[in-house]
Amino acid sequence: MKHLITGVRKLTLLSLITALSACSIDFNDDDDDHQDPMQETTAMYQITLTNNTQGQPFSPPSIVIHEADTHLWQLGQAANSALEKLAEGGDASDFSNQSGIKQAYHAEGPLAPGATDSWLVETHPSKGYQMSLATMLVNTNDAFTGLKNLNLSNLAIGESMMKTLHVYDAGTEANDESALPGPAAGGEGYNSARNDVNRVHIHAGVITEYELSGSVLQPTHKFDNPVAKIVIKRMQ
Amino acid sequence: MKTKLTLLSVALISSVTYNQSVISAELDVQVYNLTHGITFTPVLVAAHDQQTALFHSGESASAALQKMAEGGAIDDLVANVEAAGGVTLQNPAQGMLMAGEMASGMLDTGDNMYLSLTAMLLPTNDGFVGLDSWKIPTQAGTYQIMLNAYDAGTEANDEIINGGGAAGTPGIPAAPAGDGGTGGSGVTSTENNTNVHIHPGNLGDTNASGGISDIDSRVHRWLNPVAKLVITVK
Repeated sequence: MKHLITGVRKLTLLSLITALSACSIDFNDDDDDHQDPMQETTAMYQITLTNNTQGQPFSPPSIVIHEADTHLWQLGQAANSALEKLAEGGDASDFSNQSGIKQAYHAEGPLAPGATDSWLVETHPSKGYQMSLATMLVNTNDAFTGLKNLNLSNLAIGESMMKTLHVYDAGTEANDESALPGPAAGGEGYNSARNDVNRVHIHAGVITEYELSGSVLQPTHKFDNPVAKIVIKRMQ
Repeated sequence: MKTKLTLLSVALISSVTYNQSVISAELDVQVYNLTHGITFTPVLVAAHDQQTALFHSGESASAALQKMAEGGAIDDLVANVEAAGGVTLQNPAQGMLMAGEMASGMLDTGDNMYLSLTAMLLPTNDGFVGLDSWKIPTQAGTYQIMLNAYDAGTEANDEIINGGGAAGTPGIPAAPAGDGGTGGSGVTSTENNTNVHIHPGNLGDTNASGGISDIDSRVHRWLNPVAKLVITVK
């Protein structure tokens, strides 16, 4: 197996930067089997995510570095079960352990509305790896936000870029606005049954109890795009 | 000899003028209200340096931003920007910018490299259309930017039209198009996210003299973007 988890380690540099909190799980590829002459060209990126919704906490965000031809979801196509578990239950453990993923970072807790958190991510720009990020809007059935296949190699040291993120519907669970794991309901998260359109698409938003019988959602749980802001800065 | 000197000084003056025009930018500004039925209060366009801003999403609103977002008054934002060396284009519509309308103006940015915009959305409690620190291009040309609706996070979105436009006073000042309701019982009394964030949108209802909201769900909803800004750098 090429993608065994061979160790969990905190980045040494991470502990030097006090305001940041993150875990790093290194899914080693075969790099460690031999000396890498390009080792000193490791690039470090600071990923800063802001939850810009009114009342949708984000499940602990998952940030992964992966091969360029790895696609963790595709608009218009069915979600895999790893994405389904993230989008329905906020559980990123399968999502961050998929073929093609080289490193996975995850937050220790959810990101509340209005909150901002940062993670340090390292990669070798010369390898052409890309970054993806996903997190569930927990007061929904199967909504998630994120970005996929971002090329970090064009950023110079000290340079940063800002992107705003949209909401996707994983398409794996009907939006009854009641069987949801967030604090609005405390209900069911992941369920392997698929009773929606079974393709990832742009989320249409929530309806709330005022217009949908059986909904537990309040007007404060409504959202509009973009629901998050991400700033990526190359530190070294 | 005397003629030569005069010519030389003319040449020097014109070259200085030329250099200044490279540093500063003359902007033509057009703001389009793209909504179905939302009115913009007086628009503020500001050019400023990197340290100055009208707002940042994910951070708490300044008192000046709160005053604009809850009541439409831009005077404190203008004072803050100008105190920091910025310049402003104020109220290009000379009043309200109604849905479907466009307002235009000109702004000489001086040496300020960033552009921001705000205007309150009516009827909302503390919604505003915003642009935060767009880097003004140095190359001449026409640029289009689509703008989103933000919630200042300073007032609960109760959706009650009661004239309340002062900072900290609950309620919505007005529905300027004359299409608001009365007698709503109130959508909510709490604000979950007290930082500036993307507005979740109006809820509204279809009861003009009761229900939970004084906002009309058929008229006053929107999806982002809510405005288009066209900037021509001369």
